[in-house]
Amino acid sequence: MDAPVNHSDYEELAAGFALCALEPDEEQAFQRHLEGCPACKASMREFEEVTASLAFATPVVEPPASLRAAVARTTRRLPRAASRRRARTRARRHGRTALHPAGRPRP
Amino acid sequence: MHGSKAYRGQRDSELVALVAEGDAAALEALYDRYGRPAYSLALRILADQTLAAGVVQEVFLSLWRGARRFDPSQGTVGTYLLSMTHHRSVDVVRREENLRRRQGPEEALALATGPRAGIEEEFEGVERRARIRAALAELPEPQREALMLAYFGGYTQWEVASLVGSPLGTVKTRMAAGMRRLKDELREAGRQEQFPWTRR
Repeated sequence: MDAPVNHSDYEELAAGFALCALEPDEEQAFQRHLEGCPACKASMREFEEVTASLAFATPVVEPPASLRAAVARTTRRLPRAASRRRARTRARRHGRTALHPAGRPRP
Repeated sequence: MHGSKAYRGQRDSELVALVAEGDAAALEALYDRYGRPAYSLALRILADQTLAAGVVQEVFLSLWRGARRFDPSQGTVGTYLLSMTHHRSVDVVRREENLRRRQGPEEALALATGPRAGIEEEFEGVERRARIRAALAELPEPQREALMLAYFGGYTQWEVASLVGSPLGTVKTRMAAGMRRLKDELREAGRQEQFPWTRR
């Protein structure tokens, strides 16, 4: 992406990022920028609260009971002791520690 | 009887701490709070029950695996779960779009009118739904359209620009302006009453 020239460009990127609406190259570039910019990170977090609220603008649908059972099953299939080791290995490999969408691995 | 009932009065942040210690019932308690909005969102974006359930399961699994790395200073667990559901649903809708027709722009633009018949919603959900709908209704139409196409349709800014026939720069500006206004509106509502979902 072209280097943003002023603050409002960065705010546009933060809004687009929180909405998952940036093009892939822009998204990767902004994600790299986020890691070194506390101001943009804070702005993106605020926008993320908005996107989380937008989830409530859609009609409520009751999830199938099988979904709750599936969530409960994964905890039995993946006991924490094993997953802790994996989480540590992953964190080392990717050089990140926090569990938040901004640090999400992209497909 | 679900074991998670014992956690009814616990704060979200306390539940995440318990999940980090490997407490499966605490994860189920978080599912009881956020599973329904997460599933509703995923289903809206994906228009497919199996894909939607898969996304929600994956999101709760990511919390189960990573709760020890959850940093409350970076946001609440409710925001994490719903943002992650949105991100993953958009990833999946983009991956799937070559295989089938995704929901069209018209579906993305339809606004919630309220819970469907037969669904009893807890007070928090009702309040939060009313607030976001009011905030969206306040937005100028072009801003609301751009936001909803991106958020519920999973369209990129470039795709939104071509759908609505406006320059890309205009769409970027509209999305940022809309997001800023929603942020201010929701914050204003939160000043009058503590947001239950910002509880730590």
